[in-house]
Amino acid sequence: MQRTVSVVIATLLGVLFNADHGHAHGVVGKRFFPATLVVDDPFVSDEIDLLKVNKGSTNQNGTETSVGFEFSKRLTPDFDLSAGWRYLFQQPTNGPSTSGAGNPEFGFKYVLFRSPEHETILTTGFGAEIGGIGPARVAEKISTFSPGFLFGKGLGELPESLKYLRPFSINGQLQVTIPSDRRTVTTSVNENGDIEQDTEHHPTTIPFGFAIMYSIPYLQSFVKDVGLNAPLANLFPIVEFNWETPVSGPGKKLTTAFANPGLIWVGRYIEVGLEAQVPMNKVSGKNAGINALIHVFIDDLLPNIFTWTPWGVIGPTSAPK
Amino acid sequence: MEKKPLSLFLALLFSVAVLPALAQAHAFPVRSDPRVGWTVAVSPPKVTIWFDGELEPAFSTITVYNAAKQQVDKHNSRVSGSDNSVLEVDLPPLSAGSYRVYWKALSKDTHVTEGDFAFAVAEKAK
Repeated sequence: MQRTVSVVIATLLGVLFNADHGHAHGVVGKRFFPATLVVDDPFVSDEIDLLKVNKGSTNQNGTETSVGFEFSKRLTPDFDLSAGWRYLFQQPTNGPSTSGAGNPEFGFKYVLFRSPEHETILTTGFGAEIGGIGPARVAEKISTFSPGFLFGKGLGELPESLKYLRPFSINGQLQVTIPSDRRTVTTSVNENGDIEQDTEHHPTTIPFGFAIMYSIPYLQSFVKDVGLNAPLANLFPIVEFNWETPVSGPGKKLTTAFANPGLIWVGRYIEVGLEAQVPMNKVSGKNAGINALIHVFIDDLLPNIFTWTPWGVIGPTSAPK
Repeated sequence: MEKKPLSLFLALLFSVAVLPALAQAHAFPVRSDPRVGWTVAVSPPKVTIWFDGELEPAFSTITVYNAAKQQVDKHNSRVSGSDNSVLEVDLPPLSAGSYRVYWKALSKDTHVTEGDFAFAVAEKAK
């Protein structure tokens, strides 16, 4: 009896932590989705955004540039935790330039649905920026909490007559960002000795967006070998679109919107991406910004270390039985 | 003060550049013969796929089907003895028509990738 229970438990653990090994980073069926630069991708992973840069467009508030990293770690094949941090450089329209560490960001993702034959994945996620940790000159005093959904879909099922469109894929996200406080009030004494109160509103916002990319590896491996060699054979031309709409407070109609055309190159252990950030309305800014990413597949790089969990190694080191 | 983060970043980049020699990953196809989506003039003796990493021979397979969905290869799918990153299967003489290759590759660290592609054998010139 004890032996039977042990076998059942071992089998369950095997199913949970070993059988699903093919799902590390962005693979679903034949489709590989690279990590996108603006829109969060729907995959759980053991990966590092080693360097993530955004030189933002100049808008009515000024210009902000961020340099940061993010580390994500799977605890099961369908669940991961992430932590990130950014260093911010701000050039306000009215005021001196400043810089400093932003607030830390934490999150998790859980895969709700995955269909290899349809190259489809649906994930739920939650992110939190913990306010008041970074210096007040650059970081928000309040925290924000962002539940949402993420999806990915490859077009590999298109009919033969549209086979050259099969390398296209789309992935997107829809979130709600909820502030811990609706407003913060700063009290100060001006040069005349009068007390002044400055109220800053923090609206609930809906960030959403999607990325459309064309996979040259998919084209050459599954549709037609058009004779491209490395590094061109590893390219993913991409356009990401992202919006953020406030749904409360005085800035209710000030939706920001960007188109982000660029290129992603994926090697065996590392991904590099570069995009322009083009504002699509006046609120978003008046000139183009830049997004850049160096992303490392640490589960592939050192699988025995980075796929370790307290419950076992997710990326198993022995062949499945 | 500014040099420390730069040094750390360079060290991390160096690690990424050097460590791949010690590591393993998903195996993705690099090229094949016959080439993906192409029509060949004569029946090929075998289908060969070159991958970007070493494969686990016992669990990596390749099969070839005709348009009627009948398996036409010689059932001797194998990882090449001379190169662990090459998957191949022998073919009998094929008649003109379209064929589909299905492959499944298990990399050394047991990441699985799979896929399929078509090729065609041309009508013989009369």
